[in-house]
Amino acid sequence: MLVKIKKKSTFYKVKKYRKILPFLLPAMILAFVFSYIPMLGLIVAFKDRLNLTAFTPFEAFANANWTLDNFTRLFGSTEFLQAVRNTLVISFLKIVILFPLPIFFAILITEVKNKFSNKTVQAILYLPHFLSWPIVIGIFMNVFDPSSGAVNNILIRMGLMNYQQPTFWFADRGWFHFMMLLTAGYKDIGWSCIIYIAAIMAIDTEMFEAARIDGANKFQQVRYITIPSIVSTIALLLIIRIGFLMDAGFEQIFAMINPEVRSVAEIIGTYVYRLSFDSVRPDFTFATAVGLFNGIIALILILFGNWTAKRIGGKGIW
Amino acid sequence: MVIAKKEKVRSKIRLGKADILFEITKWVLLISFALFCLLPVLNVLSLSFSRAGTSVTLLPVDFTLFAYIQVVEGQAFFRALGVSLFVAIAGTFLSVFVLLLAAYPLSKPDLPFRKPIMIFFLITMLFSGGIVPNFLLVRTLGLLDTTFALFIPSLVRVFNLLLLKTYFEGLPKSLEESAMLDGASYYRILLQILLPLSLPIVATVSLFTAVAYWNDYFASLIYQPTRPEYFPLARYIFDLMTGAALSDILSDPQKVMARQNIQAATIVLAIIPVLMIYPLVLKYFTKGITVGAVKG
Repeated sequence: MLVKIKKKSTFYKVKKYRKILPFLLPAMILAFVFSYIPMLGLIVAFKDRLNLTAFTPFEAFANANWTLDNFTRLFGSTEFLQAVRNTLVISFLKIVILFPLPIFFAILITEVKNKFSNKTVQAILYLPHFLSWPIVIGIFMNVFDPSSGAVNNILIRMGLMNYQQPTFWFADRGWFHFMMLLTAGYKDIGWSCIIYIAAIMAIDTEMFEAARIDGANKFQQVRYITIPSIVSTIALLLIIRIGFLMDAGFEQIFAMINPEVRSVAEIIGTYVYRLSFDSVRPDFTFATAVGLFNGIIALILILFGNWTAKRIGGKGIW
Repeated sequence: MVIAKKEKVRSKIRLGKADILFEITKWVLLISFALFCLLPVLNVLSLSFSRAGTSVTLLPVDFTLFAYIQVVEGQAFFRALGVSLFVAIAGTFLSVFVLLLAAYPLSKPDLPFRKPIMIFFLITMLFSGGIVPNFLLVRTLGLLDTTFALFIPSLVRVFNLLLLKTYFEGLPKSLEESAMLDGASYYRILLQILLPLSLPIVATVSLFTAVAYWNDYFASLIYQPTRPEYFPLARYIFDLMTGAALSDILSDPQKVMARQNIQAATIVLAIIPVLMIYPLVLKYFTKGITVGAVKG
């Protein structure tokens, strides 16, 4: 029975696991092809132009000249700088206004002690998260339709709006940020509660019992027990959220954008898309340079966020 | 005994004024938020059953099925529904299968090259080539304008891989060892022993994936530039909103009048499949996401 214990060399381990190592292959090949090859493809950012109408991507790549023009153009482009600014403004607004709300609602949800009511409230609040962005924006476009939408009709009936000058909620630069926050809040405030609910459920209930016996009312229990107990979760999630600052929500903004609001709504993602697919002369190489710049900034932010999270909480995203 | 004790404590402490205020505030806010979630959907539901050109708040005006008849008679909706169903089912099945295979060896703590392999996967979460290189790749592979472009490039979902791996790590080793003594192959161990034990997490991951595929229109925007017959439902609805898919509506003045009602009916029909799996989603998602959060 006693086998001589071998030093666990890599060779020994490979031999031991030779039958399950191949299980990794499908996922690794797929990740290599669909994630790593596109990363290599980023070198087209250093080419002057890809002529894809006449050539295959490889021929077009071989025919194009090496250049750094795309990067010098980047910082001279007012459109690019506007997209960077809009990305930051939209992300900032989402963090400041939408980040705290799920904490607040999670506390309220966990205070619903009746099991049936609790489940019902959760089911209703999570539902919008499972609708696709086109559906969410489609729903709001109908509700906020300038002439036949419910919102404008109610406002007109209440005398708060002149029916001859209805508000074009989705085609008015002044209302863009409001609609952006409203639809983003609609889709995700409820769903984001889940993680806080889990954190609150993990609090020892005896603390609340004890506080109640000592005469603390609900407000005081929330203020002195619930919030301090979940503050590290909040900090962790906030840092992670800030790490994703460069991601202003392509699918949402792309479904909302139109020429009227473009100047405040165009984010880096939609700008890259427009450059490459939505123009008569697609500018693939410049679009790639924009994407590469954005990707590097985003990577730095995420790594920094994760590093900070690990330092303060001992736990990061990975 | 414990319950009796709690009851006693509860009866001793009466609700103060502040507690009553808290109860009222709580319900007012929760009900308002629930209404905010539901009313827009109800409005669109009523709109879909209303006569064209009426303004609808909560209930249908001049009830009619006109919009639904238009949607059902047109080919586009069911074609898009078919594409979405195919993508959600095939994509989920393949993705979960590939990730289960990979999660199993990665759950062995002494697997050789375990760390570099994990890093290899994690990097794909942090950095991507972006849309142009992905588009060029899909084009080179001949997948452009196909249904396969909607799920093949996104099969490896690293977050799900981590959930599966973590779950496998928590399973007892003894079962596997005894199966191995009986001469079972690793493949059989994975499918016949580990998989049945991991059903809750596999269900969670499958639902995550299915919902992600069902709601995705980004892949279609990039990889399907020209062929509307392969558009998924989310893309079809997007095009309906922005006016790109209105050609068959614009040919008929009656349909032009009912444009919004037709949009509403399409949205309602597209929500129904989500509502059908929603009970399952609620059952597994909440579990899955907390498992991920606690162990992650």
